[in-house]
Amino acid sequence: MVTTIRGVCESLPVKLTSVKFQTYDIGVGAAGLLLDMMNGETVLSNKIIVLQPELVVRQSSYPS
Amino acid sequence: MEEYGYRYMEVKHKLIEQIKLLEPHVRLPSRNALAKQYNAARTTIERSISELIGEGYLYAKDGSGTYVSGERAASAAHMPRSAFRSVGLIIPDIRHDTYPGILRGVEDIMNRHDINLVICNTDNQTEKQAGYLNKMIDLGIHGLIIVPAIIGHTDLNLFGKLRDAGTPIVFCNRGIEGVEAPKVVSNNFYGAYAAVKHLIGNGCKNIAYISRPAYSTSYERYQGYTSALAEAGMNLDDRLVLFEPTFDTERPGYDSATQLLESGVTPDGIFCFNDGIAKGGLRSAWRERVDRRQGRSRRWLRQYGGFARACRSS
Repeated sequence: MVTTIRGVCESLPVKLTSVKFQTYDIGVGAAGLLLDMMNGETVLSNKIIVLQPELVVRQSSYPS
Repeated sequence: MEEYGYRYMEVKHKLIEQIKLLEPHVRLPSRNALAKQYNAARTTIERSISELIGEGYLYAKDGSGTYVSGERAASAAHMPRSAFRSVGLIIPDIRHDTYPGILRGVEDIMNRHDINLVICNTDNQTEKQAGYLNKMIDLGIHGLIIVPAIIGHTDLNLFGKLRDAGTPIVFCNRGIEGVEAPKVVSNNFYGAYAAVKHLIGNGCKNIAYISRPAYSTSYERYQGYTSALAEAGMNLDDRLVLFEPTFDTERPGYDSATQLLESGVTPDGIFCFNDGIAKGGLRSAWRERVDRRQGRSRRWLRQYGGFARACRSS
């Protein structure tokens, strides 16, 4: 994309590349662990669930 | 699916009401009889019963059926009419960042298990968080999911009280030093690393990081940033790294980006901590670009999070 300054103005909004978090899954995972604990199941206090974010490439960083 | 979930909850409610009327150790009618009684599918009955066993209302004896639990009946006697459980969700702000998604995930699961959800916004203030924790303790909450507040001093005694009361806690996003509880977190290191590596792959040589103030998450992302640079054999330039002075700056990203652009080193890529900073940074970078109308500056804005707007020109 090659634009003049004016062109950029006119072309706003251009979407930003972003790092997407699995936020819904964080909630589901936490709720699942909590329910297990409330139901008397053993969940170790050092238990950790790590969710991997995802890079979503948009207009702000398309390779030139 | 929706209908199935609703139907199953309805059956479970009715079963709980029925169980309350029964003496401990009385045998529950057969699944088939219950299916007929409630005009429900046998799978619906089975799912309800299996959860009621898990929740301590019932117990199964090998081969001879399902019985009303003594313990639960006794404890239910001095419980409010509704035996439904409540859990707390303490988050910084329901409107922002990762929190709407987290809330929705928690709520969907709690709804499926017929558990009330109490939602508290701390604005990241530990003082406000302490107030809510006290309320939760007074309320006799059955469990707690918490994204810990980061501004101020955390009173560990309150967590001790929750532990003593046997209230399970799960942390989201980050934990609290000195409180042992399971955690569900995002790999902040990896997110930052992947983003910066992507910019490097695009040919960026001077990549800036504009961050929220220093705390666990911003450090993890900073480490990802430095790792991607190190892997590419690029030097870290301190002038390109800015941690915002406070969490409640009036114009997040804007002043930092302005400072950055005036620092003498021109970034050709910017990695922003989150939406707010990306928006502010963009405005600032945009202004700078307009000022240099004739210049050949090019800016790549990167946002860590959601859906802010950016522009790019060359």
